Amino acid sequence: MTRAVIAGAAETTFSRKSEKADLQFMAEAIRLAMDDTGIPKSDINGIVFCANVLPDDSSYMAEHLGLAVNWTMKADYGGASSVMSIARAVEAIEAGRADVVVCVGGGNRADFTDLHHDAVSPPIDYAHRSFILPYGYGGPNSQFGMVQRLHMETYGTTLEQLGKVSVTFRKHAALNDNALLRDPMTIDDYINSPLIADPIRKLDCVMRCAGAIAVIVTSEEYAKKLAKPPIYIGTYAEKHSAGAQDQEPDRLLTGFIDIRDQLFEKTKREDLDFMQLYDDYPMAIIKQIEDLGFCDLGQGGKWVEENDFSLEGPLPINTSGGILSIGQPRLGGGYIPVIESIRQLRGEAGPRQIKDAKIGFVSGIGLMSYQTNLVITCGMMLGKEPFND
Amino acid sequence: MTRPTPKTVPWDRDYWANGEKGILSAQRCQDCDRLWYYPKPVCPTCMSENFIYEHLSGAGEIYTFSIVRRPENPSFVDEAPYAFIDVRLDEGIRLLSRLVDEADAADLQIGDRVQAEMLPVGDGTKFLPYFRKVR
Repeated sequence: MTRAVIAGAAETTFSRKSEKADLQFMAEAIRLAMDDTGIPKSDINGIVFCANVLPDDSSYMAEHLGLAVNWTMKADYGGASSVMSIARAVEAIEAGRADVVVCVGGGNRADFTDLHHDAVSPPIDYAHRSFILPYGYGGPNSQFGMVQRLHMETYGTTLEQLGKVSVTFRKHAALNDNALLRDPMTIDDYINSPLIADPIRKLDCVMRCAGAIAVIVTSEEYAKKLAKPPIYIGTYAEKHSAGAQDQEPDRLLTGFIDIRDQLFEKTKREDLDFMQLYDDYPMAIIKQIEDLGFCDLGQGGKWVEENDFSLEGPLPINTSGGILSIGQPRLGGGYIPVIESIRQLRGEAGPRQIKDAKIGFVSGIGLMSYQTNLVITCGMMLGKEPFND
Repeated sequence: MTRPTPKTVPWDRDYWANGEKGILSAQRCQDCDRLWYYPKPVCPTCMSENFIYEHLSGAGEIYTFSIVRRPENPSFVDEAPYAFIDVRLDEGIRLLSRLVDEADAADLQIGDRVQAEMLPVGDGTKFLPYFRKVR
């Protein structure tokens, strides 16, 4: 069977303000990824657009970029779109539907609607539309605020523990020239930042930015002809709408609970050299630590307090600064964990290189549920060497 | 920006009709007895379309909440900050809502008893439950 691998990836410069539209950013990221891999445009025959508010359908977008492809789709899985796009590309390649698939996401800030030929509002599901928005929605911040309050109240999770997540990632960001937030930050800065959706503070919230990232997935056979070595893909699992069948779903449980045994069956937690976790809030990191099984449920805050997950620690997390310190370029934000994994595994991470990094775990999370927590969770192993089947 | 009004869809007609009469209701499956909120096209347990909108007591407690200081929709800014509450009704289902009286937000705690009251939203033609703290 064909084995799909990652050939390479690239990111544009990230910025707070830009005049460019989403498709321009995506095109730039694709060009940069072609440069990174040496793959010519004529060889690209599949494309996944991580896009939820672009008016154009995926086949039209391929047409606008001059890409005649055998396979295309939009990934509409919120923040999980990026990691999922790679999983979808792997499936397409291994099924023989395409040979070289570009996965791309990003763009300008969603609130700059004048940059599109037609304004499309952010996707709002039925429950938000009729049963949340009429009350005056405070956005995902207000739902994460509910999760964080319940976690703090139930398990005694502290602001100091949450702050340590942000402060650690900020230290990593200081070593990343493309991170937008690089100024040193203290736990007091975190605690004293203005309240947005109590207990969510300004320094809990991811900052929207402009930019894009593209990742190219292809067959191992094709990748071996390229200048740089491929990145191998190990176990992958995803879960949607966990708890949707329950009458009283727990707002503190994510779908990772359902897929963690599968995720760590072949590659063990202790095999990991690093983790790059989707971090739109420090609370999201604490939830992932516990739901992925690195500690008991509710002990994520304590785990953060007791463990060194910086570049100096045994299991560094979010070594490029995370989305919290880099910025969130729309649905391309989910590629930040992926592209940093590729750099670490290739030994291209410069001042933040983890010595002899061989295996890493990346996660994707997306969309907030009316009743539970995250609607989507997914995880993927990436490695320098092939994974055993 | 105007305040959004819920839009009726085929499966939630009775919910909005009950709301106009000041009644909070939720679907109960007539095949498997499951009760759920928000309205769904089918029973989330057995996928049956055989449901009725059962009247609820409106009595419950605060499961969790956040305080919204930056509403996404500018037409709510003059009301901020306000509590965004997740309420567990005594019938064993949960719903998202707000307080009738923001003075209740000052000392709001998880576990506080609350009682529903149907109030108009959006253009005033639809009603959703808001909650008062039971003191």
